[in-house]
Amino acid sequence: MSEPDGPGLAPRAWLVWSIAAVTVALLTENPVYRVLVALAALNVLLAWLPRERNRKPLGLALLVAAILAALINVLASHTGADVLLRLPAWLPLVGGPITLESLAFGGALSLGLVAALLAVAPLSLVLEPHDVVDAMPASLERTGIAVATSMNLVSGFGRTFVSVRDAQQMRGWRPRGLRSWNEVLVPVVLTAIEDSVLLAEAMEARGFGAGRRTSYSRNSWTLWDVAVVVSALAAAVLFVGARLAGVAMDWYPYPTLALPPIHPLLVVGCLVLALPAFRRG
Amino acid sequence: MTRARALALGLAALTLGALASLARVAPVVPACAAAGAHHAAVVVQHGDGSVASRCVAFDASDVTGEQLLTQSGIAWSGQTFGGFGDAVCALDGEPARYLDCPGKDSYWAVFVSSGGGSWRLSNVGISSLTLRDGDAEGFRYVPSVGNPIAPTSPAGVCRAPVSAAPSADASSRVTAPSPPGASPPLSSPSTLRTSAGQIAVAAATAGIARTAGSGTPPPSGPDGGLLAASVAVGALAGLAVLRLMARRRQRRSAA
Amino acid sequence: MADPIARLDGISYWYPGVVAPSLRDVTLQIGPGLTLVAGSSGGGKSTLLRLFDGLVPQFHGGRISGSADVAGMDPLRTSIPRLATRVGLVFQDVETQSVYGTVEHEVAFGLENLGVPRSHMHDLVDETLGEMGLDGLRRRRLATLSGGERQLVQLAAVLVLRPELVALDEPTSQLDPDGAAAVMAACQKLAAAGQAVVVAEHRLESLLGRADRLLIVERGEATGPEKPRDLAARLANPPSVVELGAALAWDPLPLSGDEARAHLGELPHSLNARPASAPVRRDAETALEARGLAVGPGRQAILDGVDLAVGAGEVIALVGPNGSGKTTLLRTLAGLLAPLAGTMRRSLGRTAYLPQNPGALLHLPTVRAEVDLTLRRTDSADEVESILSSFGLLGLAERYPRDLSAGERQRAAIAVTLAGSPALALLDEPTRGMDLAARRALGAAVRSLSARGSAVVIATHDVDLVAEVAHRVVVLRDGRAIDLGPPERACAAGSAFATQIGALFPGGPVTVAAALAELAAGAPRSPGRSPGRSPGAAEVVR
Repeated sequence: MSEPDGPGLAPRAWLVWSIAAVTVALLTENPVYRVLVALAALNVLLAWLPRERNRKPLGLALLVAAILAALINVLASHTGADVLLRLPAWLPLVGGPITLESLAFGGALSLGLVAALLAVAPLSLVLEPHDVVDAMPASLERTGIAVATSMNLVSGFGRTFVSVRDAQQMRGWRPRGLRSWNEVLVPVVLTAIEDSVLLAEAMEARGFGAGRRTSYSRNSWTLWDVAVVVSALAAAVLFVGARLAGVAMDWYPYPTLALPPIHPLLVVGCLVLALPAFRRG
Repeated sequence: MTRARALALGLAALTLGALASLARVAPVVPACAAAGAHHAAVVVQHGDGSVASRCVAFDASDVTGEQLLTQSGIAWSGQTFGGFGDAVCALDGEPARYLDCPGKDSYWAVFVSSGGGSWRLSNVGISSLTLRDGDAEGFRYVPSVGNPIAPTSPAGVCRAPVSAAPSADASSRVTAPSPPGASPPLSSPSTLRTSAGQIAVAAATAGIARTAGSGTPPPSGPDGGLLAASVAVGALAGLAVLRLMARRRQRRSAA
Repeated sequence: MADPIARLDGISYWYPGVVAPSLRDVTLQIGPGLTLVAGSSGGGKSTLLRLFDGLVPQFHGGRISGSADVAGMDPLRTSIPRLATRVGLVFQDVETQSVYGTVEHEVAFGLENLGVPRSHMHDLVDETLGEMGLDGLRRRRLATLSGGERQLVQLAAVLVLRPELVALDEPTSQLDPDGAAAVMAACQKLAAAGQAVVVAEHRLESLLGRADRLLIVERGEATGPEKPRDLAARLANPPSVVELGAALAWDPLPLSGDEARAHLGELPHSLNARPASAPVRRDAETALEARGLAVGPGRQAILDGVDLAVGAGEVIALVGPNGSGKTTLLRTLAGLLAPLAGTMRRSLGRTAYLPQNPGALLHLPTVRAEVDLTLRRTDSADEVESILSSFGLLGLAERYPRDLSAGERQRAAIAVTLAGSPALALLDEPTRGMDLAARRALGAAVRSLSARGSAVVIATHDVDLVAEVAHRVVVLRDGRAIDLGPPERACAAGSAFATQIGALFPGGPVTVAAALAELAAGAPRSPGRSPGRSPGAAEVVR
């Protein structure tokens, strides 16, 4: 009887690490800390990402999220001393001066998003679906399964989208404006819904929902897992404590852009989150 | 591998170089010739250009900007803005009345000088500012649009004066409308302390001695943090680049 | 029947919101061994299978009357997870059945659900993987397996629960012939060991001769289960040899190619003459020409040096195993994918492209609306009615396409895509999940397209379709495209793509229609090749 392969780190350790990293990324508005968390998470992700996995969808998602966040802030907030350009004031919401400060603040926002996304990415890209299920506490197990199985389906949506778009194009459809995309998006969504129903059916037919579940894989904790969990928790606790103690962790670049205060201890806290990247062997 | 290593090293060198250019030479701590273990200056410049400045003494190793302002004896009223901290709405009687804080046309810009260096605009409220021995806190009433101009230099506010009259001592307001609310008398304890310092020769000697010597090393909080952060960013970014290159190479050889 | 595992009594079932029942007064018994369920698309096969493990009515809702007993439990009232210990169900689509990412975890999923202790789980998984010969795949990720292997894993995932009845709903419709053969062999092995196995299929060629019982479900009514030989004549969609045997009144009705060979002696003359292939208009213009084409989904070419010329009105069949590049080549020919090398020339006119799983692109309220949309978009002069009738969709014209059964939806999607007289039609696996009537209708539609001057390229596993409509067969193998010539050669005996008829008459016709036509024509045109076989010599094959 052979033991099944594990994800290197115990799934629960991954979960704790992800939550800690996301907490730190969102707890502080300081772009320096956010950059550090993002880089640490990136290192961890690159160290553990299986070779055959495609990075492009994640990269694309990150780019889109970052640009959107920065753009929203730049266009909607009009305070700040360094004006870059002025939009006509009669425009709703976006009218008015566009300032360097709001760009910078928007940049900090998108950094937070990017860091959070990178922190959560391993749960989907490194862990197998059954690991996600094992990582959940017992009460959330069904949720874990729902998440895990949807991960399987989501990878099919991209293919469905391409297939439907190709077919509709050959039928004479052209992307002309927002409404025309209905012809592609509606079928994809309908197919996605049908696929999830099929999956639910298959799962029920194999006894899902019967009650207490057990787990096929044994996940024994090694010293490394403990180290990762302790360090991640320490980083999170450090930031929470710093916030409670009133250490300046926010960044308010208004009215003029200035470097945020950086505490070396908090820098160390961010660095510690990169621990899982240095895996043994 | 060589190319990637070079890139990583280059990144690290770049960050270090940028840091070096930013680093300021540790300034000499101006001595504060008044009682108290530590001193920090408060400089207030009104819209018309008049200046009020104080040297405040404190025993703790650091104080918040709010504590410093309060102890300076200059009248002020403020408003709390959550994580940002307190904003100063009115200071030393200007504006006499306010509806918006910070004001729509003009507002009080807050500056910080570390260890006697040049003014730097603060991006946190005074309750979140931390000041140590030799720092200074500055306020200037500036218009909302455009860059806020810094107040006059804090140099000499906390220095033991050799001549009788220090450069910027007691406030000299040209117009003096009755300030609203409670306003402590201009002859506050801190002013007295400064005056006392001017008289006491021994203290002056000590002050000069302190000026000449190296004294306490400059607070390295923000600068140390910047250094640490730069190194950390450089290291992590370099490592990430190394990994990316390695993966790309693995992919090419596998294909 | 000795000890039936399942018993249905007067079951009638209505899907929610549907007026007509999907099952009408079904009374039957299922026993150990292999029971084959045959019937037209939308006739109720899938509904019946889902009844066994309670998905109908518990998961799908609706109204039900009658009583049922499956392995001692009442599927109408017992909860589905409890029924899962007695009944296993394998579905058509591998992708939407898989829960986990690796083989051993997927197989263990059911055991996890039932709270089986870990050590016992490992033993059961080991046992089942060993029995099915999947030991070598234990650690593999499902996404890296072939379709056939994945279905075997799904079968193992169901068998690990040690059910008394295993039902498979069209398990091979998305697999290539190798995968299908592997799954069918596994089912047979199970049945031979005494397990009750129920398989619903459209393609009955390989199983009909080996099933213990045949059950026909048409329009909600069940006939049987009986011995296959007794019911085979009633099949609405029989395999070719059964069709031929019935037409020639062979008795006993042959169920497989081997059984049919025994009847060859009854023929008035040998049919080993190669009939003239359907003439291709030599003067026809070239609709599509590719020279030295290299295609690939990424930057790596999976097909190289492809030389293909399709004339107007010509029908080319692309055959080859899954993964050989059929879809990629079609997409490149359609212009959706840039070729990596080589040149491609298309004549003027619209190109129609039918992707795999075409039902996914339907979303308008009625089938008629979808056909209409295509005609409007392509500025075609055709009438909606004529298209609907040529694809046999008049009865379904006002239905919501996504409510149709899989085969009906496929038909609708094909009509929608091919509407409007395209100059070039590219079809990717068009007959998946279709019954014989629908396949014949597709064949007729392709022929009418060809007659009107359209060039057609069909990528398919369906050798009967190839034999019926193709002018030329091109096989994709080892990164190259090889022309095998007309179906009479490509689907003849000994070929990897031989039809049942072609295997029966070496050097002779490859379709039922051609065989019957030749018989009606009388004496052979030429002696033809008949290696080791003289007319009149009866071969006893059993």
